[in-house]
Amino acid sequence: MHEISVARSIIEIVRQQLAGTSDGDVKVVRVRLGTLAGVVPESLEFSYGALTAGTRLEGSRLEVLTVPAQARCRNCLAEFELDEETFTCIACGTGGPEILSGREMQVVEIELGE
Amino acid sequence: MMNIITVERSILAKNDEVARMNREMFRNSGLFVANLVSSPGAGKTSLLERTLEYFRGSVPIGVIEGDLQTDLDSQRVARYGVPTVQIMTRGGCHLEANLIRDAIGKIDLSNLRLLFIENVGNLVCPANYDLGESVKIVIASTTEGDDKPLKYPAMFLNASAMVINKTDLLPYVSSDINVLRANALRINPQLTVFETSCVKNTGIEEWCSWLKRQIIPAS
Repeated sequence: MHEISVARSIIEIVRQQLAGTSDGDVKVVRVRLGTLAGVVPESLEFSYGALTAGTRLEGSRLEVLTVPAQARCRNCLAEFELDEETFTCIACGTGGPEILSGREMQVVEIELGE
Repeated sequence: MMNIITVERSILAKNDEVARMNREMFRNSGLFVANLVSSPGAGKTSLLERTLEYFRGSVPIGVIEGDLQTDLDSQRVARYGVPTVQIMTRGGCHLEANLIRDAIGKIDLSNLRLLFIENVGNLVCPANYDLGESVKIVIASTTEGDDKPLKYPAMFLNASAMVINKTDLLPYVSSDINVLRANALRINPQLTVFETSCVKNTGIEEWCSWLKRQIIPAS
């Protein structure tokens, strides 16, 4: 359950971005999470809600943009969306592909409203 | 009116920045640092004990122990006469770079060649947190089942080596060591694999010889 500590890091980044501004309320905080990042979106959203209660961010929503894992076969060089249960090339069946994406953990943007 | 502030920042940027500083400090001290990760009870502390025993009197080693509660592990390790720092995370499920930064302030790194960080027993959370280590070593025990790499791929993806521990129990469990090894290599073909039993003291020589080769030559 490291979602709480991930949520805390997100909130800290948002606070830094908002420091010194008073451009209205935060509506949405958008984050990008790869499917291999090992973070459960539902737990993260819950943690975010719990940690923002009673702060300037109360009532804002955390939106998770999921990035699927893309891989490249080390044998036949085929690129494909990784089946995370097998880690095997869909073209030639070789295991252990090179991971091209799926480990992302980023704060993308903050949406403000009136 | 809708207003968007573009951020595009890594969520773990702060941790990674501290990890970078730790890594620089380790490099300046000529230290090879191994971050030991596994589920609870896989045998991280036992492997550490066998390793400390092996290197006793020949290689100066330091240990940072991470646990939710108690200093039981650092007590076990301290018996081998090595400098040890216990981090208690008080419920935190993994170690973060700033905890390591604070811990290395309590240990004299200057004469050490090897530093072990024993992470909190957890096969999920420690995967994402860079501590500044040279390598992550994942310990998988035969009693956990041979499917663990497929269930917890991130840890095996980020590790440089895997130690399959408790090989003495293979006759009593349904795990197939060949399947366990194949599953781990399917996720990360670059893993160096060791097989150990800390009870029977087998495989320790091979594991420690590999460690010895990783030690940074004195300049």
